[in-house]
Amino acid sequence: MHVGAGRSGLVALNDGFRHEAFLYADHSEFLAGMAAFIGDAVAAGEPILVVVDAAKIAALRTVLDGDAERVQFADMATVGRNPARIIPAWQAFVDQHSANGQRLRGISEPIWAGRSPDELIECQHHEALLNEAFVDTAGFWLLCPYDTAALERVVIDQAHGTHPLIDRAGQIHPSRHYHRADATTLFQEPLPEPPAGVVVYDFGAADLASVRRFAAQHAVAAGRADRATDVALVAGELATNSLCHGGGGGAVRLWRQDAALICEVRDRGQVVDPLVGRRRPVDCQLGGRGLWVVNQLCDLVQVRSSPSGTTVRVHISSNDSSPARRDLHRVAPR
Amino acid sequence: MNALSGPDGVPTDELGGQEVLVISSRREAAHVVVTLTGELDRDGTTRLATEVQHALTDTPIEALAIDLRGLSFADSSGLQAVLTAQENTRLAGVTFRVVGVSPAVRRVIHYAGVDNLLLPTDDDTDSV
Repeated sequence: MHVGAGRSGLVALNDGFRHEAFLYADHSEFLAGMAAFIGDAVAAGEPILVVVDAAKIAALRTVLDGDAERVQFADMATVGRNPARIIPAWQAFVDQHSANGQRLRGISEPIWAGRSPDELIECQHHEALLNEAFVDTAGFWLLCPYDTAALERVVIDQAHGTHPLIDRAGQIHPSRHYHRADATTLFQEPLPEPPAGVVVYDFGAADLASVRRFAAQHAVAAGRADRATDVALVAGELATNSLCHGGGGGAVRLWRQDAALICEVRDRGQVVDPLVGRRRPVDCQLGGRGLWVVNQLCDLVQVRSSPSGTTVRVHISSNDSSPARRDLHRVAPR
Repeated sequence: MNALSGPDGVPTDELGGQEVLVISSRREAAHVVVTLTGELDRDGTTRLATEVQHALTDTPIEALAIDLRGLSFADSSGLQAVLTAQENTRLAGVTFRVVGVSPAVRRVIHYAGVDNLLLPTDDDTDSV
């Protein structure tokens, strides 16, 4: 039995992906709940990856003492800077450990009080997409802590919509508000209109290089010369998608929003794959790398799509903080 | 990045009629080096495939290298074209390698998840 004494009261569960929200009211409740969950995994010999912020990792290491050596930790501030990079991190963990029916556990806290409204929406999409990404991954139990004292009530309500199971004060129950999300719903979430007066460049099949020049020049003009090369690459990748799937053309816009540079590409195509850009490309794969590259380079990526067209809006804010850039010399698994 | 865009927002630096990618091939004995200069994106993929196909079919060769030293830019579509060239070359029984990868291009290779482009050539014995 893999359910530990501290988490009893659970009725029969199927052996599929178990995605559970853990609602905690204070730090001690967080620590006690996580330590019990981790302790059970360690006792059962189950690999466990814990992705929370650095302060919580430090606190957990202290509480876990010797057990911490059998736990993998990663800083959510890095892994989840762009929430679209979190599913690939879990996929890598699953791929690494799930052979021979090995049961796995994870702790994932993608939402913290400092997340912007735009980030919160993408984090909720991420939580919903986990249910699709791991629907066939048997024996994977992912616990997602939510700080009920620090987060808005609406965020907690949304956690009930994306997690089939809710754990509150040691009581685990199925969420009455859980629903499987589909691409249509997620991709139709409205985006605010670009600011008035933003320059638009309508591009066609012969204009890829011009799109890159346009993007780089506007990055420089917006005071972000440091990221002009990346902005050009991102705009070009998005425009290439428009040429391939979006009716052979589109419109690119760039503007500054607070410290971030925003680049947006609109076209007439429709994105139907909810996990687009969240699967590590495999060798020999033809196409499909564009949004993956964009997700690695950007701090936030908003994909919106309907039968009338697609908008991809990306935020580039940080300097040199992308994890992909830091682990540049690490060889990717083949 | 010299000029800002004009009032209509269209880039003002001159691209009109100018090739953003130049492809040339050099043959020494049974070795061919295909050199790419400029920017490698979706627009260059067909021309690169054609160049490699000619190199593989014109006369028997033992090795083909693609030299990226002159590339100022590559995106995921461009790198995919190099990957396709690698596959076709190996399928033809010809040794393949990529040379002259600049840090900027290496970075995109990593982001695009095509790190296997950088593997040493003597690793290809099991691929055909």
